[in-house]
Amino acid sequence: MLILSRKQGESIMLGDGIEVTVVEVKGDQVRIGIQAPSDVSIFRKEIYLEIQSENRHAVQSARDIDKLNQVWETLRGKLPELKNYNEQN
Amino acid sequence: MNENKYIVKFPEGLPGIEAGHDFQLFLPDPEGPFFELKSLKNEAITLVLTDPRPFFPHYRVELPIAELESIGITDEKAARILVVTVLSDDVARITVNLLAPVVINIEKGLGKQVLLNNAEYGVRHPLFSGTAFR
Repeated sequence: MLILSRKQGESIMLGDGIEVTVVEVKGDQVRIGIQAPSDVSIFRKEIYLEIQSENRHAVQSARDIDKLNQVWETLRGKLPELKNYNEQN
Repeated sequence: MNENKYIVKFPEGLPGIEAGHDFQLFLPDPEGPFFELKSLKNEAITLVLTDPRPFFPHYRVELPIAELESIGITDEKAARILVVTVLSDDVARITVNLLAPVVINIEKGLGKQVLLNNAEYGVRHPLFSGTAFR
């Protein structure tokens, strides 16, 4: 991993399209500004990891879709907002 | 989406899942909101996707234009929004990921899971919380 020291207000360029700026340093928190082309996705890493983990849980849990459809049958009769589901499509 | 089966390509794949780019989207019950998304590369890999509309009528997904363009969507009407669902034996524990919806271009068969920059929505939101189910 490349490690650089930067002061508040200083930036790093990633290629010629992405600029990462240290906006503010306060205690143990750093505010970072990122300027990037709109087709570059930017995520907080912990959230991205959470999405990965939820997708894996979803795969593990997907055995039971038949059961889910039974639940749906029961639900649809009970809930007025679900009754017209078909008409939306 | 009138057919029950539909081939969808995810050019960037799905985060956390090694299942290639090509999937079959299948609607087991044409009258229901639940879809199966099965990997064509590895049939053991299936996810349940749910149409969030009947459960979360106020759920709104604002997608950056670049995200839409990356799967060829120019008209928002072609975008079908579905949410990844984690099933459970206990119905009250079935959750959906509202923070990272799956967007599908129904005309071109292209899809992408989009991470919203919207702190309001969680990754483990109970599916039936907003209803009178319990």
